[in-house]
Amino acid sequence: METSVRFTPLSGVDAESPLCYLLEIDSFTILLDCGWDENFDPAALEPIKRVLPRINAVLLSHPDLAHLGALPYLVGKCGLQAPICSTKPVRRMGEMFMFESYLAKQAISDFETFDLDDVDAAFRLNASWTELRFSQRHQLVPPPPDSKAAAATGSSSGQPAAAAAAAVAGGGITITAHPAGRYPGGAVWRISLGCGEELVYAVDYNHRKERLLNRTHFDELLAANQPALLVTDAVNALTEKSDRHRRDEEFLDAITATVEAEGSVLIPTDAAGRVLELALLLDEHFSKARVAAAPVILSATIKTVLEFARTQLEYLGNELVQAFSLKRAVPFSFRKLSVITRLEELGAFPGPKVVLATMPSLEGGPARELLVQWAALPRNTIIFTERAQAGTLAAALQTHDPSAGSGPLRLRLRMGRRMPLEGEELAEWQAAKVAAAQELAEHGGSAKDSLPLLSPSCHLTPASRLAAAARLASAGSAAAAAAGGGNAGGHTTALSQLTSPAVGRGGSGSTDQPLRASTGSISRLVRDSTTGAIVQTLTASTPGGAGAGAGAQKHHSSGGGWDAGLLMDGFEPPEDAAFPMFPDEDEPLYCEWDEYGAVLGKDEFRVPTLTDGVGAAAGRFGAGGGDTMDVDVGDSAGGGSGGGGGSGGAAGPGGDEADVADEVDEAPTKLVLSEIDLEVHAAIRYFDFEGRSDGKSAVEYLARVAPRRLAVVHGSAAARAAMAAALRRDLTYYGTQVFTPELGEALEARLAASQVAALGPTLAESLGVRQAGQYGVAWLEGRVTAGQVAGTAASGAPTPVLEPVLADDEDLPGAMAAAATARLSSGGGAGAGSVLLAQAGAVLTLTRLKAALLAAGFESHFPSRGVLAVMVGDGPSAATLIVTLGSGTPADDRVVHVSLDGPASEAYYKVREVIYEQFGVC
Amino acid sequence: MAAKRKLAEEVAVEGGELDTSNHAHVIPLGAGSEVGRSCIILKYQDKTVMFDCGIHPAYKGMDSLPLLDDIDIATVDVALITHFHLDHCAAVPYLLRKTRFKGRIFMTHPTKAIYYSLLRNLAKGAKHSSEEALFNEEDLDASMEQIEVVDFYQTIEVAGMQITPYRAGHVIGAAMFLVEVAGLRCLYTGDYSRLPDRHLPGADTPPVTPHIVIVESTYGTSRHLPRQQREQLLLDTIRTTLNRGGRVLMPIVALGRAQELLLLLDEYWEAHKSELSGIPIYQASSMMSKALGVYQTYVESLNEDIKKVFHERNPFKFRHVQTLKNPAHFIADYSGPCVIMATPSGLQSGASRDFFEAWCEDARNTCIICDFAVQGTLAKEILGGPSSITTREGRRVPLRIAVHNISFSAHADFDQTSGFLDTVKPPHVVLVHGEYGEMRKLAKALKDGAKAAGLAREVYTPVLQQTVAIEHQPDRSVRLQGRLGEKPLRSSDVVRGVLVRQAGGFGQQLLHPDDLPRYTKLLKGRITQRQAISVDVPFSVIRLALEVMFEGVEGAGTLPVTSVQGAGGKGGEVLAVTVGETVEVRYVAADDTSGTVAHVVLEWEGGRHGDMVADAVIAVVLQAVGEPVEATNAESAMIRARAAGDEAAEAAAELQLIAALLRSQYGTAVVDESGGSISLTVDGVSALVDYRAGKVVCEDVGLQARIAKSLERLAVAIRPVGVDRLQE
Repeated sequence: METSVRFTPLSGVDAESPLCYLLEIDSFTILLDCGWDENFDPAALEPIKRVLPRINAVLLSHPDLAHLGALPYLVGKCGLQAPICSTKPVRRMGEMFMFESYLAKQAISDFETFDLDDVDAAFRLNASWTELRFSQRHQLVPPPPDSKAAAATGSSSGQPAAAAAAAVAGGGITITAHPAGRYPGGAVWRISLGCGEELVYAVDYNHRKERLLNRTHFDELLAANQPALLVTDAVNALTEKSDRHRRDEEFLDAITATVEAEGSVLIPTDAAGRVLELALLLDEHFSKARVAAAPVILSATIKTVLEFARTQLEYLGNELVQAFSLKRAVPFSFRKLSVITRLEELGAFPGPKVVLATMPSLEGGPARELLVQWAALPRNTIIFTERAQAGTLAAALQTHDPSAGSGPLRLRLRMGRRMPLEGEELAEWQAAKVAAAQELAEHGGSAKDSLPLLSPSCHLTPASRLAAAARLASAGSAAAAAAGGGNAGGHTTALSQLTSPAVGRGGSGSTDQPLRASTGSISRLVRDSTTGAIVQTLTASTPGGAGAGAGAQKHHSSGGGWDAGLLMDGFEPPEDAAFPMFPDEDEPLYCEWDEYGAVLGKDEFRVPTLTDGVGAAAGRFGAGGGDTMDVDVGDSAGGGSGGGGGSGGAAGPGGDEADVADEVDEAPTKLVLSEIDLEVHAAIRYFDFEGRSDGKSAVEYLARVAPRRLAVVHGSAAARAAMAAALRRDLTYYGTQVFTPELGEALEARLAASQVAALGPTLAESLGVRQAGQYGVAWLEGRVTAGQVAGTAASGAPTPVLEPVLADDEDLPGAMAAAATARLSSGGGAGAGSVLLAQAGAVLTLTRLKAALLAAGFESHFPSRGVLAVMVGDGPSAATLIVTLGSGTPADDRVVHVSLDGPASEAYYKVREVIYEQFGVC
Repeated sequence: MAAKRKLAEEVAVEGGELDTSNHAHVIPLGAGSEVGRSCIILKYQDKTVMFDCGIHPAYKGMDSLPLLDDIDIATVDVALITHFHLDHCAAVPYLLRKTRFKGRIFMTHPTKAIYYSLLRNLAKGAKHSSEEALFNEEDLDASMEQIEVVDFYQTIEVAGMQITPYRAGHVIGAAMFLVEVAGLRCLYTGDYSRLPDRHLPGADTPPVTPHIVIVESTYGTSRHLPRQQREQLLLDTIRTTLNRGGRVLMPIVALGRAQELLLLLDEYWEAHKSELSGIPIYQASSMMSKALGVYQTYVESLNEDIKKVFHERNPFKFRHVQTLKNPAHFIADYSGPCVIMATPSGLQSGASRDFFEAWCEDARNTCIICDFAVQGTLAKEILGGPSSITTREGRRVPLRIAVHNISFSAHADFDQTSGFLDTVKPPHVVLVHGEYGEMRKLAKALKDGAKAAGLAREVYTPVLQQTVAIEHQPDRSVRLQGRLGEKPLRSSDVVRGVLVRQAGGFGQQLLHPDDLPRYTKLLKGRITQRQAISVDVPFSVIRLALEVMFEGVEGAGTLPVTSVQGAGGKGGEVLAVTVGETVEVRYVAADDTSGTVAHVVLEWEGGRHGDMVADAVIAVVLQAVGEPVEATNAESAMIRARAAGDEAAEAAAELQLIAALLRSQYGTAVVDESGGSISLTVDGVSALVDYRAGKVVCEDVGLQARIAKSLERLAVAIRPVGVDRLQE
């Protein structure tokens, strides 16, 4: 049965729009990426929303906005539940990208299209996310159990089986991610169908090795087989090849020059991708060069990003891996580069500054703030490292041509700023908050199960989310641990309970394994039901985690302290901890699962009301999040003046190394907009650090892959046309069809069925396999016999076996027999025997043939170009054979044509044999 | 079953007799009925895989190497190293630098990182010793360049084999390798443990059924105590010793179990601070701090549990453990109770031996063997309970120290191994990495278990160098694609096409020649062949002969002989014909001005079909032209005789034919029918051709060669060119 494949761009045809494509394999629908741009305009997602219910799986290639930006919205607001597949870094860094974008957006506007809950739901808490390693084969659709049988029998009895096989989309779908370069974890997706065909989704790959990452090598992986369809982008189709070293030097020179002139350099970067490459470059440079300035990375999420990147060495470039193996050089432990998370911290650095700051679009984030501060001064420099999306501030700066004589660029910018609420506004807000809490307490507690109640966790500070993310990223450093443990003890506990099931499922942990199998000696704290005091228990009796935070506080206030020898096995609070701390306690050893993850008890989330007496203050704080909030003990016990937001412990004593997130308190804020006029006098430079293959290399790369169909998307019309034309030209001989589908235009391909047969041992041994380039080739003639073949793995169903064809009339004289066999072969459907020549691109030269002939004992020389004369025999029987190599006619100039002339002699046949061997003739 | 039983017997056969095309060969070059120097060879088809390459802890220098000379190392396609313990990886620098190994070599990321630290230590140590080292630091650095890394669950393709590492538990980064060669799946477990421990997950169960499982048998049929009991026992033993003022020595491998035990002790000390805080725990290895980074960075290799602890603090930063910089000073100075972990685990040498010799005469002290004690080491010896031992200086000293064996080594015990095999259900199990007796006991137990469970299972227990041959038919399946795959195959259909085999691999496609560029990177090209044969008969004669041959017989052999348009000579005479639309035969008349002699030129497109027809045409042309009448007569006589099956007459006719042909070349030729020889006289030199023996006797060497050559060529002409030979 043939397989139908439909490829439809939902977005991402031109260079500006984010990437999102639909790939349908029979009835199975795959969404390839789901990008969004910084406008976060839901209208742009209409095409995706229309197909949303049909989507069976989502494959993500890169972690940036343009590749997965719409995910939180689709999952959180549109109910996308299909399994999502990506590498681990794409998931984690993708979350950071979304986080940073959201924070930037939220800081300057009342942004409500989606919120951090949606980000959490889409990424961290998403139980249907499958993290794959590179080269790990993942079966999306299992092949039909009897595929071999179906392919095999073929007779009338085989028809039902064949029908069953067809019912399974593509005869089974297996996906594999391969490194794409460019971003950590960035993937080229290879989708293998059970019918033996392959589809490849390769966008934004980098064929060159960088500091951070290895180059992509999907061309080598696909060297043997032609994919039936390859989707590629044409963003860089018109970009010239550049010299990487020169680019680096010029980039660094520009920085040095500015700094030496007492100017500051602003380099707007993304949140979690290319920034790492730039960071490595800058740190390396500033460690060597004597420049009187310190480079700084400024981004709200950067610490988490780096923590995570450090534990994902498997995905990084060879040099980093080797440096770690040999010298234990932990990647991203910068020598010169400083990492800060808030603009305010920049003041600590004296003199000129070199700052990598987030949001390359300059539409938001610290980079925009810095631009406003610095752009007016001519001694400063703004260096862009990627092309800006049209309509953004960055684009306005990049496209401005100062030499045009229009003078300096004048911009009127709308700046947004969040101001804390004060006075009456605050009181109002608090009142509303309390009302909402009561509402929840009355209805929420009994209403539904865990998840709906979890949703209000929007009260989780970004801090706690980041901390949780960091934990998931398995941060190993003591600093981070101190920050998290010291400051965010309470909500950490709750959060890790929430998240650990997701980890368990997403990772390799099997669900019925104990979550903590080995640290049995860590005791557990339980609130005694009668006294309300905290007691230690060694058995798993109560799910005490959620109560621990509140309980701890009481324990402390009653002056109990803690007995180090008794309780604290496996956990040591920092010496300067201001309040009691308890280990991150584990849940009961076995948890139940449902489709949302671990089943949580309702009681854990029952919200205490204000009338609860002693616990009132704590209750109020915990209101929305169900006890997940951290509470500043001293203040809150007094009267709860800290506000319902649960201060993130801004002054937390343990938080000296804290992430920004811990410090951004969630106190109620309002948005204040202002407009400013900015006259740009700073120098503006552009260096391409996008990390994409240039046009020419991409074409060469794809020409090596030589897919049967090629869909060129994501590029300007001119770029797509240029790339399509170049590839049409290079791939003529393979008969490659090159398409440039427009938005919504479906590209449909019907992939022919294929059959599987086994070679009988006799036939297999009689084959004279010859080497042709990378392949072994042989002419095969076989008669199909109903097979019962032993040992072919999976199904055990009979595979037809090919046995040698026996000429019926063997006793004819030689010539007759030859003629008879020849006749036989010409009668067959496959046509006559054939001549093959090695792979296109492989060198076919007479020089090589000459060497081979010499090895076989024949002298030869070149009487003229393209002609090889072979001397055979001696004395009177001496003769000359002429071998010429060249195209026959101009029409098929890609078909190599060899001819051999000479008198009939034994040597003729010997020479011919040498030629056959050299050119893989069979 | 009968066949299988036979196979089991073949195990005893010393290797090499069965070819590898349908037998997989498993050859232990090390770890065959022994523990140490793991190195197992798997051969199947033309592929060779080496699993592990370690040294034997009980031997020194070259003796500790696996028996690498037993196979041709240059044929090894890939070496797969399971984990960083010396008995699994320490021969790698030797393998890469001092043998003819040309293959690729793989480890997991953590294995590679720790491999370097460990072997560097070894190389440094060896520098100060008198024996010849197996490798130096330079070799080690070079090996780091060559070793490639692979992550768990990645499926990589090497030389057409598919290799997937799975988690093996045991130590960080330890892998089991599943190798698939031409449909044969073989799983090598290395050292594995299915039990999750404090920092590692248990071994994976591969999702597919391997045909062969090569599994360690270290613990044979013994069973580990449940972990709680073992831990309790250990802690009790330590407490007892400390209480009586003694010291505890735990000889241990620097990385792996040491971490697990330190986690345990540290936790215990922390829990009993009040009583134990005065008693130090020492570890006398610098490796541990070096390894710390590896544990942090490759946190993905650890279990979920410890990953969570990492959020709080670094669990490998021990609170109660100190590092001993100088064991010698310590032995001299320190007298109080303490716990010491020192390497190596076998007490062969090094710090653990120093401590042992210093403390073994004091009955208050305790030595706890936590790792597996390898045969030939002191650790194994003291477990036997001798009353005295010999120190390295050769003194005989009484052994009063209490010796305990509490196994914490993360090897599978009997329950784990049999459970694993019952789940994975391989039909063939090869036991390695176990002492002779243990291995056989395990084999028996596994066989019995399989019988009880109704599973088909053969268990092999090879000794060193012994080949286990396991029959397996290779997967010879071929995928018919393109126009050949359009229709389902029906019985007795004939399919023809080009078989394309992937580079070095086993994937095969069958394609119509015209589909080649669509499914492979092959282009279809052409070879035009032109052969000239001089003739001295009119073309009409040749044409007639061709027509008689190719159109004269009804049926399958008929090929049309048609005139080529526009090739007519003067008077409408046809001077070119095409046979079977494949071979064009063109007549070129003699031209005295250019010195050209009359000849025909055959032109055809090279390839199986064209070559075949061309051979037939050449045979006919040669027959028709240039032959004297007598030759023609002789030939028809020969064909008649052949048809009649009269061999004598055929031979006689053939001789006559040869004589006639020689006569045309050399003049007089006299046939001696009875002797089967022909006498020639050329320019006064006589020569005798013994046709039956194919010999030429002649005084003139040059002439002899010429005649011999002629004979050869005549043979070609008479018996049409061997089709088969040319087609190969």
